[in-house]
Amino acid sequence: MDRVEGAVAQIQGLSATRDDWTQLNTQLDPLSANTPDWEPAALDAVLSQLDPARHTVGCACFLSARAKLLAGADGQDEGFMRHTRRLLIEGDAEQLKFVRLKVHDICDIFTLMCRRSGNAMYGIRALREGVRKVAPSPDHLTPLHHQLLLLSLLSKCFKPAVEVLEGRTVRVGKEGMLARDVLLYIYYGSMVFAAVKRYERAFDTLQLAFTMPCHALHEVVVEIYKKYVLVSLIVHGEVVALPKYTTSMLQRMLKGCCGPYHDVAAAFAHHKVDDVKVSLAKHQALLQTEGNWGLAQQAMSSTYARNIQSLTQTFVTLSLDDIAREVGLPDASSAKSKILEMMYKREISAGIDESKNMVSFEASRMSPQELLGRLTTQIRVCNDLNEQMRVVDETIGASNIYLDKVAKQERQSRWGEPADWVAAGASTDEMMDVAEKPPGFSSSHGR
Amino acid sequence: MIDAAAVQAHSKRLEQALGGDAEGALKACEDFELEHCGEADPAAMLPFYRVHLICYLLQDDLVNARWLWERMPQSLKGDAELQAVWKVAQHLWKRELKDAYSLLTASRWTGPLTALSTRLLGELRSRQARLISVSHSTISVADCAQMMGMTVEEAAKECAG
Repeated sequence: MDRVEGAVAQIQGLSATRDDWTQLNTQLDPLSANTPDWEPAALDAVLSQLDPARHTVGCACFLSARAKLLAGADGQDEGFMRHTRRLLIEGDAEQLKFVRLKVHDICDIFTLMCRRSGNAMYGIRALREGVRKVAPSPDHLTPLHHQLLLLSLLSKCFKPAVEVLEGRTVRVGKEGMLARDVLLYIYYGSMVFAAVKRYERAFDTLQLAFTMPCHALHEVVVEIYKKYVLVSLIVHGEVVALPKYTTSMLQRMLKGCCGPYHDVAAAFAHHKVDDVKVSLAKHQALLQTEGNWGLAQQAMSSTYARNIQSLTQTFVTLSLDDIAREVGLPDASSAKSKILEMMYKREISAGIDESKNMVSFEASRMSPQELLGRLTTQIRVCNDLNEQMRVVDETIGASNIYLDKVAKQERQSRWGEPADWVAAGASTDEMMDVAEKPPGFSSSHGR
Repeated sequence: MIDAAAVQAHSKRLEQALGGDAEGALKACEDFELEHCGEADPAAMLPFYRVHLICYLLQDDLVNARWLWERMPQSLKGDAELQAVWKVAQHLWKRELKDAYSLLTASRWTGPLTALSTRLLGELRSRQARLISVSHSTISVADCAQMMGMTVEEAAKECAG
């Protein structure tokens, strides 16, 4: 325990500047590697002498040592949870970024404990702060992102999760991130969007998974694909083909492994409500076991809305009875309430004539200000994206790997392949003049 | 998990926020919920949950209102006012506006909910008026009055403006 007391004194002394933290890290690492079996009370005693806001690095070292001990164990550690929460909420952002990898380990165990305790909401505020403070920049993805999303789904508290998802996280650092972390972010993210009924965003999120290069089928990708089929049916009424830059291996294997889902999708092809009902009833048990029954039912009810939409393409005016009959709704009043609902959600632009019970479909009426506002926002988004692409393009254009590749291609296109030269009887000297020189080669070699 | 002093601080914050718009009051309630996580003294949590639920309705955020109801501690759901707000939410979900209006006017409200329920009624009526003006080319005054939950005279006056 003397070592620990000494460590506390060191932490209190060495927490001011970045150099101090590096030194502190080196000194504390042996301590955390050889920890005795720390009792929660001992951890409490030590951490109560430290202030998470000033001594973040030190607190993180102790907590990550405790996390390693808890990794294999069952059960709870309320003290650990309490201190982790304090660390994330009150900790200094710079110091947390410095010990990022330790914080990832701590949060892994923290999320696990929140799940086990049955009170997932306990971790939400802490992880929300953690996401903000630990990521190297607001654009970076961290494991804390998907942990926050998971706790939101378990506790049914979605607003913090949606705020995080709205942020444009486009970068993935190499340190501390696995493919699984990205895939889980996509999977849970799409489930959060579906829970708050923002199906277009759910669809966009799910598509991201198929853009990752891969050599084998990951189990999370299979689950993502199942949700992709159903969400695609909700948003587009059909399963939109995977992007053309998806790995061909993935395309082949996914076609084979989700038979029932493709069955359901086929039933949607003709937009007939009865066919869809039959297909869903057939696969209900499977869909329920896999947690996708809710989405399947949403897909079914979206068929009505889609059928009404397609009527607007063919008819200018139609009576409510005719609409109900065409679309598969039971009667005129349910057709009217469905149309009112769609108009409320701005999915359709129509006029109802109460006296004649007729609906006239109109071209979308938007005020000039509204139109201008929408156009301006879209243009701004495009400009931001353009700027980001330009920066990426410049970085690649200036990188060594790219320049070497371009030089090699240029050489080959101008002078041909070295093998052709040999066949034509070129001398070694001639080849030496134009061929790619190995690294460390000097021009006086061999002369 | 949350001590009396913290509850006091949050209550004060809510009181101040209620003087302003729904957004501020909602934020105060959400922050309080993330602190107590459903495990504080029920008497302390109840006033917040009432305001929380009705603020979602004011913002027309029925999805989040529903999730709030789902995750609320079961013991609180017996409260009469809370149940009334939830029934209004259910009527709004099914677009049964007539029932929503009558429930809002007929129920007995206490504390901040008196002002908030009146605000909600006004908000619902103005949304409905906007929808009618966009969707209907002709509508009878009686139907209009029914859709907006007013008497025929009130509706005629409202629409003339």
